[in-house]
Amino acid sequence: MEENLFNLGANVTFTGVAIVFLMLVLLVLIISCFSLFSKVKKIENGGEKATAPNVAPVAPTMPVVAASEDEDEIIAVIAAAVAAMYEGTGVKPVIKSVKAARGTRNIWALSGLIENTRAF
Amino acid sequence: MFSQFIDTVMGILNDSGISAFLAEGGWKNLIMIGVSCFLIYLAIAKKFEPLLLLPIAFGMLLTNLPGAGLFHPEYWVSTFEDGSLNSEYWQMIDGKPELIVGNVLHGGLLDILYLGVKLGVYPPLIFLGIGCMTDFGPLISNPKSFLLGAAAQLGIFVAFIGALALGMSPQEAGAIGIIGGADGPTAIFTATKLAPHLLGPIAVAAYSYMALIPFIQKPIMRALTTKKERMVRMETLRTVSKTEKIIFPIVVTIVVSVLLPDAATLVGMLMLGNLMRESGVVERITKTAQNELMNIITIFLGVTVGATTNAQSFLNMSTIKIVLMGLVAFALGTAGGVLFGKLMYLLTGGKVNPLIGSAGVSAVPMAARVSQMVGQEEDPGNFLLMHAMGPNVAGVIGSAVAAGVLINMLG
Repeated sequence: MEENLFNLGANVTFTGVAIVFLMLVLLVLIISCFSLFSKVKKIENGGEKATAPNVAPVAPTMPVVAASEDEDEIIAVIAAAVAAMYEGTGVKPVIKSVKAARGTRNIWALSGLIENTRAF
Repeated sequence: MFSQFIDTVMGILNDSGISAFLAEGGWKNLIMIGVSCFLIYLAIAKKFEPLLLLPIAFGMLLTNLPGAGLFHPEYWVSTFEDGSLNSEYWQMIDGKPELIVGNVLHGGLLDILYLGVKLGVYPPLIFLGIGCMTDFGPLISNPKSFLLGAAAQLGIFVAFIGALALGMSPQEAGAIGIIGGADGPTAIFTATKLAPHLLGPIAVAAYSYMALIPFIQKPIMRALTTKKERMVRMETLRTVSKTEKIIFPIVVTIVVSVLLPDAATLVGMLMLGNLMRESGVVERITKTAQNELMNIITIFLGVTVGATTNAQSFLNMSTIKIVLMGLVAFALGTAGGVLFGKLMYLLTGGKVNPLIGSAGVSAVPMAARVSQMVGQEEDPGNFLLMHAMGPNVAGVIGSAVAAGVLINMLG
């Protein structure tokens, strides 16, 4: 009786662990194919971009303009914040340069990350 | 006149619960009422899984009030201790006892609501809501997380052997082992299929351990990993496209259901909810499934599971064994995930932080948050949460598959 129980326990355990692993390994293989598809799609999109300048040569300048507008906006926001800080003190601050700190996360990305990953 | 008054008062007292408390075994109900009040305190003051613990604890209180008649445990026992059929409420169909549903409808409110548990309706509907709330992106982005979700199911099967060794029947051992999956609806679904008489203690143990996840997992994670391993910063996950997220639930449903039909109910509903979320075309019903429907089912499930913990079925040695083996299952599941994480750390040359392995037990998102917490204790700038969400949601699928295996082999 005890031997039967032991056999049943061993059988269920080994079969169970094997099936759970096999099932999830199978899903790993299938889901891994997803990333292959996305890589293929990226290559296809890249190919389209490479040929794009021939069709519309003005297009590449657009991101540069957008980036410049973004930077101007950021500088304006920083200037407004500094001005607000010194308001009423009689001091007239001058901003000589605004440089992005290297090797750190974007402050908004960092703020979002901390907000979303705060444990309990 | 006075004696008539005394007789009337005595009659009322005899019909009341006070006389039942004083009758043989009545003290057990008083203990259970005390336990339920303690659980209510934990839910309100300590905020231990209050969404479930509060209705469970109140269901426990209601069922142990003598004479209230809200729930009748005798309806739900198919066979008596001598092996004879409880023929008033059960009939034999194809050699298996089947509930005569019409006969239990004359019971109390909780008897009627309990049909949803007995017929296995509530847990899959909870899974539907969970599917609507789950983002499988981290798992699709790093499919190897599935392996951590599988490794963390180890505790289920070791606890199964442990429960057998403690003298439980194979069906009871299977239902107890599934506590290690750290998934309340899966534990309830499996218990109703394999050992319905143990449903109350199993559900209470499962949700209690889920509430205690930080206390159980942290020491195990620290003991099994080195400081260097805990400080590993993982590479940023790739962005997952909408198409991938839509294909994922369909593929998982087909693969799991074809290979293991017993897991189809839970996995199918989980993936239906997720497809509704990711498709973006049924926003109204997605909101309903993850809010109103889920909340309604949570109330029904909680209060009726609590109602099964009447003194006679709860205060016995089986409950102590369930609590003990449940803890073993939970701890070993955590250890299995962390150890497999260490293996992946070695095989990838230190790119995987083993702490994310403990999130393979499926308690979402608590287990992933514990990985994040333990990681940040060593390196405050380390953000493991999204990496841990992969094994965490893989654990939901893994525990549903493990439940399917147990139901198939022992049911």
